[in-house]
Amino acid sequence: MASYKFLTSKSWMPVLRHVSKSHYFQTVYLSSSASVYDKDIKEYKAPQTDTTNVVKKLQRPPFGKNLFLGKFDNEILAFPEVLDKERLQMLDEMVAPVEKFFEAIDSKKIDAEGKIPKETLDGLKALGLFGQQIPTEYGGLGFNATEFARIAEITAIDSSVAVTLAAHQSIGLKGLLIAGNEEQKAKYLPRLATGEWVAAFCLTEPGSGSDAASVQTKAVLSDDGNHWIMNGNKIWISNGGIADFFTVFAKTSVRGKTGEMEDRVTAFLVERNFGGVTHGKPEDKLGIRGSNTCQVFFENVPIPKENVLGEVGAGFKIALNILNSGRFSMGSSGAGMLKKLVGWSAEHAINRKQFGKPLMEFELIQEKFAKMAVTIYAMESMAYLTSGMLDTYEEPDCAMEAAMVKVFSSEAVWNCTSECLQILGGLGYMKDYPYERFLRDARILLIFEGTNEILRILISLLGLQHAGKSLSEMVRKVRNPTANPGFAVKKMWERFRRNPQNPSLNLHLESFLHPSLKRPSELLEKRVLQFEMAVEILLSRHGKEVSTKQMDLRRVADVAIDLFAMTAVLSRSSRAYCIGLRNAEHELELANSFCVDADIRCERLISELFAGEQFTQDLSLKKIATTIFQNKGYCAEHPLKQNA
Amino acid sequence: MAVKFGLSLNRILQRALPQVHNCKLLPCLQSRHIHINSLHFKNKEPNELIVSPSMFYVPEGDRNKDTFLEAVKIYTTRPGPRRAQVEFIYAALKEMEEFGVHRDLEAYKDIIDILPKGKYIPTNMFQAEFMHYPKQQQCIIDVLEQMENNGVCPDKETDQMVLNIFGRHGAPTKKLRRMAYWMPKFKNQSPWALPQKIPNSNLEIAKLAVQRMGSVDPATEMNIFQTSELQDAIDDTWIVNGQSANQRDLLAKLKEKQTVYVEGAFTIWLRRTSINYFILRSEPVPLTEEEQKQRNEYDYDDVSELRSWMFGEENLTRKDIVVQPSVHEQEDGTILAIAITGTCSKDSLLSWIRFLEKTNPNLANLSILFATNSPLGEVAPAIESNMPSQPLNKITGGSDL
Repeated sequence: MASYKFLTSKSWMPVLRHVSKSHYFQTVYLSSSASVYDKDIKEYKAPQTDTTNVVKKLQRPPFGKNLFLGKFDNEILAFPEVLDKERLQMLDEMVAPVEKFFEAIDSKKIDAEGKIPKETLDGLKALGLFGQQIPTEYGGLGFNATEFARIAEITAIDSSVAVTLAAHQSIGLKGLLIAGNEEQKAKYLPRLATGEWVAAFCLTEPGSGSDAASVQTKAVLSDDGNHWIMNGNKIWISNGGIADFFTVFAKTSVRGKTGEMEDRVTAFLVERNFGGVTHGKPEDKLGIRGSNTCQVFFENVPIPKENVLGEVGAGFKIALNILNSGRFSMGSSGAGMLKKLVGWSAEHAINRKQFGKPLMEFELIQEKFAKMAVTIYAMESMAYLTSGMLDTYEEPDCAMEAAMVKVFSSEAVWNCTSECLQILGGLGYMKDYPYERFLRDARILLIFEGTNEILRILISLLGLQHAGKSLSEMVRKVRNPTANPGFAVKKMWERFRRNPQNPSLNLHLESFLHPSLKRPSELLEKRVLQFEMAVEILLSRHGKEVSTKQMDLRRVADVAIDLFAMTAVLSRSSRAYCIGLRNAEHELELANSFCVDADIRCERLISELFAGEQFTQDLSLKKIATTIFQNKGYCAEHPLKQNA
Repeated sequence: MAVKFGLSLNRILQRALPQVHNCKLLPCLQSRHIHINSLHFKNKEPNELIVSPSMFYVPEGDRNKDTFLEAVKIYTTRPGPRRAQVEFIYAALKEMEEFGVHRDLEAYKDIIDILPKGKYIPTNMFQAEFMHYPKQQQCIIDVLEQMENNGVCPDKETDQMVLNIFGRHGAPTKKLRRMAYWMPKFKNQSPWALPQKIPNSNLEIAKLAVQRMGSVDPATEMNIFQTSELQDAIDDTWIVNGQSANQRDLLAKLKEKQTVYVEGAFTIWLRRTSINYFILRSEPVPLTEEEQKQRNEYDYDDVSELRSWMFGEENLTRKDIVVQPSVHEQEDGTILAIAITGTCSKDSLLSWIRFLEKTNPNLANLSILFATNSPLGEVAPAIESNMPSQPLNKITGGSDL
């Protein structure tokens, strides 16, 4: 058989050997095994068309978390193709009418009046958009994450509608999908899928925003033990005024492990019909003005015992799960928004003439468009890579990736809408045009579904926790060099040998990508290796204290986001180029440009991580901030002040 | 000659001793054991091999995909041992265009599926290296070649079929995989994307053509005029006009009594369809000698007085400064507009100019010359310009890409 191997390697193009393995040639590659030589194929069987879609899910390690250990899952460089031909076609057929529907929506009116008209909501319900991720047996569309992301791209064109839909299904009823039991699902999902009932997610309280564990709403078991009685109020609840179904988080007394009663958060499914549920007037907001946001009050609401979601006391975990699983779609919806806006701006740049030339011929304008395209490309790649992971992995551990997508894309949307408005000049500032609305709408992305600051901490802590488990022994020894002098010296020598400034590239990422992406893949590889060292140094330097060093955590998160984004663009562009999609060269350029930019950002962050707070601005920034708080505001003397 | 020798022997054997022949008891008489170089098989004249099986004798009107697939089905489901498979495949290949299935993947798959699975897979390295069953391999290579020439890309199922027939070391498998790798790439190479199927309506084709030609300037606007809106138009037809704001500016700058030309018809091809178009052109404006001289003397090395025209410090009418010409100003003339009309007649062109006058008032001051002699000979009306696919093969290599 040895000689056959030689023949095979000749017959495969070197490019194809790794790259296409997972795409077109997958079946071929597998089927051309020894069985062919045993001549047991006598009759060719055409693929069955009515195969039940039971696809075995892949077992992959968590990608983002393993980055912190310098372990790079090469499989990810084959961009996932989640949908087969039929499903993709079905999705395309779904996309066309939704697109048409959204083109007809009068977003300006919705924004001005602060209300989505009933016809629009009815149209959305008729399209089935209220039940996108609800399984088909409950009357939903049964979309997986990728399909959901694709539709989110279109719905984002009107942010008010998008937020209403997201509050309904990304968070409002997600808890029921994740943790609900069969009876609960059968009871509520059909009505929620048709949009007959709208769902809302009630977590935020006046005293508890990002801090989910500190909710004050209380639920106590009634005397007969059949009901929970809930009291409290929740603020800034999207869909609060129109919802008939609430996922509410409240404190309950639970007997702890030690036998004492302690307060734990529990999730409840509350119908408006239970009585005692009231809401305040809709808030007047900067953006997403058409979506309904208001206070919701719970006054002695009786909740049947069977309406507890999951277990009593497990609410905190459910809340985090819901929030973590809903975030990934912000990448695609942000991309949808931006693509629309960039299209308008490009038209403006083509037609608007200044100094005898259209705007598009000025280099500064070209630079803006190019950078926006690069950013959108990264957003899309990250979002669909994450949704692909969610769909194809067994028990996907993607909280970190989803948070990365959210942080990156919300900031990108904000920056890019701002740039678009800059290109549009005066037009962008006028309320007569739709452009300014995008900027106002984009501002909320940085705040809701977990503020970006919290998410950055989440990203780095998830990673550091993962790394800490494997590195704990090493860190303990390094932090006690006097007790382990031999180890400390060895470690120092090892660090020196590994050359943190220019580590030798041993991951060979370029062999999993198209050769034209060799240079950017080397940039990524270098930063991945440096990142691992930085994490190690950070853990050894701060020990357990690391979780309070937020400035360093921010850096770690930013590097991790850039590494994930680089991986996503490389994987996507390599696939596009290998299978020859339209404008694939353009994609290579986008990917290359993104990687070069991200590399420069990473370089700075990593060198700061290596250097530590003595050599960065951290200490002086802390000092400046302390002074400001002491003086309750900006406290430098006025420049005109004289010391006489 | 060697091929013929081998084949005629084959035929004799097949007729005389079908069982023996199939069992390969007399291997030394078969050509594949005599010739190992595949070139021998490439240079043969395919026509000599073709016996035209009766299955393809279908009346002229009934030649379509269904009858073609039926013919193949009759052959494959005939009782008794199947004979002359390769010959049948070659015959089918030749007939495909007649039946209009030469760009149909399904038809090709049906043909390939005729060959038995497993039989031709080499079982040792010598067979693998020395073209096991060369006649059959060459035959499928020819099928794939015809697919490639017609721009038909094999799919996964085709791959699986060929793999099951020849194994992974078979030459057809390799060819197929190269096709599967390269053809999708080439499919999307053209910067001017066209729909998979070019529409039948001439108006739609005209729109596509104007869109494509106008893409040199992103600001090009496409308008569709109906001549019935004009009072004195003789023809009742449509006109698809392409003109950008830039071109309007250029037109407005032309001096009174200057001549502009309406020229055509030129031909543009969209896949296998062609359509005629016309241009409105003015003479190029060459630089005078004085201007040329000034321009040459411009001192690029002097940085002592940097001035920017963006802040009005530089006089744009100065002769030594080159304002970058637009894409419409070419050496042989300035293109001011393009159009496709439904009838290609002179009257329709006149209507076109009348429509243009509405947006380009300066056109009334110019003298317009209709160049009747098209570089392509007599102007054919657009309605008849849908050419059959055959002549196009010479121009585009017959590929669908």
